[in-house]
Amino acid sequence: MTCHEHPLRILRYSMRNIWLLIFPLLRGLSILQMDARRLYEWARGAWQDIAIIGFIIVFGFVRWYFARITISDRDITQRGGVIIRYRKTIPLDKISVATAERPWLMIPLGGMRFSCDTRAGIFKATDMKLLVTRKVCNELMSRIPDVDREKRVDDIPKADMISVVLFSAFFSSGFSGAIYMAMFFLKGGSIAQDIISLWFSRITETTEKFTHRWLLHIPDAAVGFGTFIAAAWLLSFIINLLRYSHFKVKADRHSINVRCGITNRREYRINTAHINYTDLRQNLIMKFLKTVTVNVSCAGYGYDSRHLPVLMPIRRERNIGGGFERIGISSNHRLDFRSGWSGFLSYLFNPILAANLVFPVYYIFEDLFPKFAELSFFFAVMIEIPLMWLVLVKTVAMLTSGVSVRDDRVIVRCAKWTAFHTVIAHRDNIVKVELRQSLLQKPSGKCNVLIWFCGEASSCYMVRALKLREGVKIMRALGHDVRKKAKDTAK
Amino acid sequence: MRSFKPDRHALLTLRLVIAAISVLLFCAVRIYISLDIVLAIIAIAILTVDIFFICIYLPLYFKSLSYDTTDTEITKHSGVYFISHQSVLYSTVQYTTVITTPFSQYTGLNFVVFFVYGGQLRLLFLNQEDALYILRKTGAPEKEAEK
Repeated sequence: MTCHEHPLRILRYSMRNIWLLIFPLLRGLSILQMDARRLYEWARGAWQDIAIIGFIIVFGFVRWYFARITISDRDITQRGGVIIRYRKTIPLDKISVATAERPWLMIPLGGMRFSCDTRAGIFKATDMKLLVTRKVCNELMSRIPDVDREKRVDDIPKADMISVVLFSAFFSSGFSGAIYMAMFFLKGGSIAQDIISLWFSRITETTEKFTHRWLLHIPDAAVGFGTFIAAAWLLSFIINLLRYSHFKVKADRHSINVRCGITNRREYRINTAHINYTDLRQNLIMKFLKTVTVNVSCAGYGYDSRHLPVLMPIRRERNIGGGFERIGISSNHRLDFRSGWSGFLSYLFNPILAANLVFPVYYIFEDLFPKFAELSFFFAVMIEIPLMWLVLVKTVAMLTSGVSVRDDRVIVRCAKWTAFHTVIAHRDNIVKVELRQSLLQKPSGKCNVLIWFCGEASSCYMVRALKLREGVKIMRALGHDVRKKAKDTAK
Repeated sequence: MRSFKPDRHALLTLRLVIAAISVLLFCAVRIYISLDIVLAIIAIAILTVDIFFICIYLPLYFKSLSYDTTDTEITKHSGVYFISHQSVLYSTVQYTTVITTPFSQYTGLNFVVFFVYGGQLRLLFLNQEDALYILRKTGAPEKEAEK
């Protein structure tokens, strides 16, 4: 079957940001009076602009005309280019993840996005992205292996609404909300700038009134900043809620099917043989509640910063078992090698030092710039809170981190910044293991074990403060004999 | 094992393209700059770059560039200052991209890119027939490879 992409692609080909032209157009239309003579005069004045837009659209049409997709039983081929022609062929059996998206804006136009990714490439870029009609998208998805109804694993836990809400709350951040606002600000031109400026001035006015009445010691700018972060977090939360609602997972031994989203309904088909590792992710609150989110590392799944590679939003760790274990995702592992309290310095030296430095730095700053005393106090407190949180996280990490090697599997429990990870992988998916000992660790005979797992971007997980002989045992269990070198180092 | 050299037409094409770009660049400079001495310096700079690329770098690059194929893998040898030998097993190729230009049978501007785990192997300036042969080795069906 050979076909074109969706005609909407003409606009994309015309110019990625052609929609920005809508702002000058709206401004032009707003001053235009509906009079035939005035319309003629407007067209006479703006004929060059109209010709340029026309040229852009014609160019887009030509590019669209020359772009074709061929779907066969073996592969998907995308052809494109007008003068310099390219042809990209992806064999179906090499596809790790195929994604079909139906954004609500495209529903009336019958458009859908199809993308697929293989394990090739250095960066997390998607290998093939297409904008197609619903019919073509269905045709493409019909060639991608799906979950076999008869061999389907039945007891995969379902993600209920509470789990999705909690997941959205835990994984929303003021930072990502601020990024959405910034994107709107950058893409929306002057109109968005006006809206945001107006909104900011309203926030400042409100916070001024509020602080004058109730919170006399907090500077207006600080309250405004806090309000902005809270609003950004709320925005991020709503976006996550829209993104992960109606989360459904189906699986058999060869394939996993994930559907989620309200405004942008997405369907993922994941080839389980291409999963690099499973990551049970937690933050501190989730750690105390003994809940996890099940993530998988697979090329094309969670391919950008907006989407998380989640397979189960929030679940009690002890309830994961069952169906997930049958597709190779297990939990509740006992660790053979742990760091424990003896790793106190490795885990806690840096965060405790940073937490103790904040207020001395604030006092120096206050002496140098007394005008900013209130504001700098606010920021000192704002920095101190996450640092204290980090101390707490690292304390828990110290007590729970470790490594286990069982048969053909490796289990690594560790923390990266404020997130806890339990990585479960087949030993074939390990690309590098490193035993690292610093000068400070040498007297106590401790070392750090770093394990790199394969993927489009190889990821490293580090367990600190293991005993050197335990590190050597781990290396040996993974097939690396470093006994001699370790003995030399110990001498 | 079979060895391939890059298409010699490609060297000629590149030389012509570089010469054409240089002439256009010089014309553009001449329109905007009227000082003779500046014009002469720019002309000498362009000429030097042209001579370097047309007479030294490109011939050496094309001389060093070659491909060896077996039933299981392909090896690319290339480099002027640093000579590199890159081998890729056909079984590790995840997908391929073929880039062609108009009249590529005469210009030799055919490129095949193999995307493999963690990177890519770019096969440059291939003869059209050689490109087809290599594509067939990756398992592309006969008709599909020729399209």
